[in-house]
Amino acid sequence: MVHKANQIRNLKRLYVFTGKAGVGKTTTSLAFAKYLKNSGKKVLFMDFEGEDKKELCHDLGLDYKRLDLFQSLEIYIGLKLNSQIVAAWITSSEFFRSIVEIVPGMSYLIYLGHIMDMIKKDKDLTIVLDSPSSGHATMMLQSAYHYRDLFKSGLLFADIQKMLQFAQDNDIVRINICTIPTELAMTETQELKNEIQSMNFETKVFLNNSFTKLLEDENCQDLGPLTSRIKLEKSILEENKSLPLVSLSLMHHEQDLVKELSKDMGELV
Amino acid sequence: MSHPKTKIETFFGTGGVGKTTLATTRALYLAEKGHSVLLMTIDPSKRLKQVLNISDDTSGKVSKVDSFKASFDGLLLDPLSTFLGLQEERNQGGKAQEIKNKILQILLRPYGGLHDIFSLVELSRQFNKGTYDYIVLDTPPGDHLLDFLESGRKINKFFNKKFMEVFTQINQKSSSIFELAIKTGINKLLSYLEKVTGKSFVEDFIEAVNKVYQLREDFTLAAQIPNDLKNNPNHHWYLVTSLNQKKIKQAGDLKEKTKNYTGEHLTFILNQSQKELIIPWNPESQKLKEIKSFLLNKEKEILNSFSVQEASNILFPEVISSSPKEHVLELKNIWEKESK
Repeated sequence: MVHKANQIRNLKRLYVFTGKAGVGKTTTSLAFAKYLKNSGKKVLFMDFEGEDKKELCHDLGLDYKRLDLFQSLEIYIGLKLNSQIVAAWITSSEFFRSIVEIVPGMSYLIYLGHIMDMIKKDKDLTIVLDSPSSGHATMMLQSAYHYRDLFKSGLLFADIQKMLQFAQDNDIVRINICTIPTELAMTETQELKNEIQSMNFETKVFLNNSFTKLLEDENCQDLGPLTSRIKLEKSILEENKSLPLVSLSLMHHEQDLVKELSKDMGELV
Repeated sequence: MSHPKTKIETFFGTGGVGKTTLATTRALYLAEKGHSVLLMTIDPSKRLKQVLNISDDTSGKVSKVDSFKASFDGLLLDPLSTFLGLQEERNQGGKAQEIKNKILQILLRPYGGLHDIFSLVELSRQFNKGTYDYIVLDTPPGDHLLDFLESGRKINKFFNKKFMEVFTQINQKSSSIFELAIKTGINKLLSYLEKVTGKSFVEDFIEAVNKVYQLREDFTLAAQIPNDLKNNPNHHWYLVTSLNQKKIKQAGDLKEKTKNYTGEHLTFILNQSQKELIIPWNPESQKLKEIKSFLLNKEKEILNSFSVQEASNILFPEVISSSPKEHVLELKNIWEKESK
């Protein structure tokens, strides 16, 4: 099914969904990928942590790829040294593996590199990445800077530079930050946004589980226990006038939830 | 080998379930009972600073939390501070030297990636000091806790005698054929790596490893902590799950994955229960009726599917007030009820 309005303007190549843990990043990123797919775009849904989404993506008709650290490393090293055999030997070495394991920041760099490579190779592809939450997302995005500063020369340095330039092109990458209307989430979101913007990545914050959006056509007086939650949401919206809203959904099953939300993802493009 | 009396209480669970807030209520409850308490977060997001109203500047330093009736200490983990603290202790009172090694400088940054390892090291430091009756630990969301727990194994692997010997040999002449073989293998690896990483990196790397190796006793002591958390009955684990989120499968998975670390001392916390607030609510509009039914069914479904046979569980209600501090004050009394 292709949406009537399939003229998606300013489509990026990589959308990274992050935010405070537990706010609904995965559900929204799936809904977004579904929206793009329904609009006729070539989409790949990716992650490297958390629940395996193979079955869910299959049921939703989405292409899915879960990145594996040592696989991605082997591909990269093989490319650089011009030998898959040597790469396989290196990545199977206990010594090498224990070094890599002890520094998780490096794995994020490898994932990013692999993703950028996929985008460069396929001009029609859009990738939607369900990223780790705030603290680890910051680690992931900063990893390129850290390792660029570490390797002051050599092949890796040159590659990281190229990758950073590519990633900071605002036509290529956008970081969508998911939040909910609670004090802790809003503060964390602001911190995360500042952190990411200082790295020259484009960001867009959106509000998940919105009651305002859910009740927008209703004239509800008897809000009972929802009153203060809705009040908090309204005060947040007053300070952030153009914040895109994703409605709270009353669907029970993840698949139905994603399908319902996918109809409203236009604002997040 | 000292056997510190300190009891470690760990709050873990998937994201956004209320770990940080509940850990704070627990610390406050224990402090009000007259115990000396350290509330420590190893979550790189450091939400604890907001709940305790302390600034990011206090990262890495134990600071007194005065905003409640009873006081306790708070600590936001900072890898660099921990590293410098260890060096200071080695120098026995001498001022810690600035980190000159480029690799350590970068990796010890707040988001440099050594967070999990140094979380374990800092916990070990505080525990082995024996200063506190309780250390309450706020952890990163979901599976990131496992990275922390597995740091013990990673430390042991890294400080593997074989690798250490290799490092010292890289710069020396090797005597035995066996040693030569290892040295050749590692040298070959390093020469490949030099092509991709640049020569100065490899030199800095060897220097960094040597500096870290000087602190190996502290690291290997820290590597013992996960075993102690399991075997020492003084320590306790709280798996927090929210009745507002449908992450029951993830909570179950987390329980399975941490079984080897939590042993028998695990309590489930079912947080953010809205039942008491929602049942007496009688909206007129169809939409609001749907919402009421949705919220109640979600909670019921989670409670029914929750495998609570093996461990005790505590129910915490949803709190309407907006400020984290008010949250803490309202929820703290649940611990009192539970102890009866």
